[in-house]
Amino acid sequence: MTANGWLQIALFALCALLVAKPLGLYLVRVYDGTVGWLRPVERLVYRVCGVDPAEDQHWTRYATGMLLFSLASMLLTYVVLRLQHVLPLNPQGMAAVPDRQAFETAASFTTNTNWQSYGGETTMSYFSQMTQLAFHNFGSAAVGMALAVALVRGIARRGSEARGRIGNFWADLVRGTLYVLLPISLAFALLFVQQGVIQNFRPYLEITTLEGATQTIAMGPVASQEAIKQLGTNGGGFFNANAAHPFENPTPWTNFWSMLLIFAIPSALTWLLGRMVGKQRHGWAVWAAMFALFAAGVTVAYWAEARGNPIHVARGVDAATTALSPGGNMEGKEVRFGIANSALYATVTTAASCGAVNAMHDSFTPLGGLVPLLNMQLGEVIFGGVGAGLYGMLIFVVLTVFIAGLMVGRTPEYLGKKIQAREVQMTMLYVLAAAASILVFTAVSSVSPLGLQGLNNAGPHGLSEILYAYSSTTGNNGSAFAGLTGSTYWYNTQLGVATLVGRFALIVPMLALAGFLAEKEPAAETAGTFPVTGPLFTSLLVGVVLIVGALTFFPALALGPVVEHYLMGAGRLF
Amino acid sequence: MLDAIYVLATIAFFALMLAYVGACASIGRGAESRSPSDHASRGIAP
Repeated sequence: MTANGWLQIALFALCALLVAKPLGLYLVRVYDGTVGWLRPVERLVYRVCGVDPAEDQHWTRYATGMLLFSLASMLLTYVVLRLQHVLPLNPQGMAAVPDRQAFETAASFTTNTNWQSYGGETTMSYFSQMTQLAFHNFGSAAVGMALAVALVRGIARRGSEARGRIGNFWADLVRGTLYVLLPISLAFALLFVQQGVIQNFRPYLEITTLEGATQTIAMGPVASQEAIKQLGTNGGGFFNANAAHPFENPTPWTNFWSMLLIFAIPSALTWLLGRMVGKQRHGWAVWAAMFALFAAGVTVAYWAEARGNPIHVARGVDAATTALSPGGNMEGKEVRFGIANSALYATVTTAASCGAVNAMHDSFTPLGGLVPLLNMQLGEVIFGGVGAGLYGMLIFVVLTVFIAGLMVGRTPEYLGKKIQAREVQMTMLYVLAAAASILVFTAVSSVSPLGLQGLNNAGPHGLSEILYAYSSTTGNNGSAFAGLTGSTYWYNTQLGVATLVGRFALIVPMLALAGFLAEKEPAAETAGTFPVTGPLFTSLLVGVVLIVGALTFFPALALGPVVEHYLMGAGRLF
Repeated sequence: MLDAIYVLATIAFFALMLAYVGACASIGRGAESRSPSDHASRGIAP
């Protein structure tokens, strides 16, 4: 580890902190309808779609709208991918996407997962990339933000006024897209172009290398997709190599901006939480819990990768850090990013539910690879996906106040609202659905011949690859450990289903929780009220996240990366 | 043939989620209909 590496990590964390208040304030104004600089466009959208933005929807109506929007957009994507060979903007003559892959891709992009079992430059036409994949990058992110705001409204509103109503899904969707995602993406797409990210509609280039071989250089409208891919924590790369590709992520600046875009909205949403519930310190307490978990993760990942692989050292690889060598484990990493920025990027992209990668997670040391895996299994609540991170963390907040209430023998309260049986039932449905999807799918694939056929590595590393795939898809992350052949009927179908379960089976009880809280009248705080601000609350929240994660996933992790770490020390590789 | 299966399975999944919304709503209504006095009569803290 180097001072330079730590300085870059500290600078990134500082920027993620500094963006929280200004962007959070802007988000508050967007979602309360105060911001209106695109009002004519907004009104036109409502008129064309027949939406009454003033309608305050009950949570069941809000959930129904969200589900129907997702179903329609997923089916449209499936049809376009299957028909892309007869649609325009296909200069490379890409064939129709196979049925299983079209299903998985449609599910994956609809759910903000962007798991890709294909190479973008060898499978998708420009039309598919621009009208479907980029559309979902905006749509799924806007849905996530809307859902988080809906939950915060449920917490903040008085029951006598709200009666289970949590806002208008269509208005939230349009406002998040028009006022937040589109303008910021446009600005950063231009910055990316300035840095060398390509943006064109040319056919691929055929060039002759210095050795005389012919090489195909993929082209395309990359910059416009790159910005929203990061801002919307989508993560699906235009190219197969994702953000390790020099046309997606050419410079240290694009790398830094990419990471900052991933954390920007999730960080700002914690400020929105504090403002909307009228207790700014609560928002900061949640931010602090997220930051503590993030700092622990990046420290372990950086330490593990900088320490390197002892088997490499035993075979004469120089792992020392010098002026000319980064040292440590550089397998699978881009030289232009080095160890610190690869470890930081891996932690950021899996803490949030982004899934973009600038290094091969499969090539990380076992403990370095454990960090991204655990980040996803904790529910991606460490800043998390746009919206999904906040509502996931608020589920843990409810669990925390419930446990705190049990410990002192009082009816648990969250910001004056009693947490009773139905709220805890919804919370547990949320937590159990995610864990069940990851562990059951992993278990089935680990013993099924069809599941094992896709493995390229044996032993604990093979288990880690399967576990990572289902953790990533259920967590709607989308990054891959690689080493797993995911392009089969078995994996395409199962991973597609895992993305759907990981998104919607969690959202429904979360929205129910929002509605139930919106029916409650807050009571005044008393001396016996458990405070949801300050270090005690933050520590307890971090503890609950870790304990739930550890109790649920430690056995699987022990059989995967943990045992692999010890076997690596004994000289065995997988 | 497989196209039809994938499309129908997708619609079935979302139909299931809509039913899930209804189930969660009924859990909420059920809990609401149990008044604090019901809880108290069964020795449960309201």
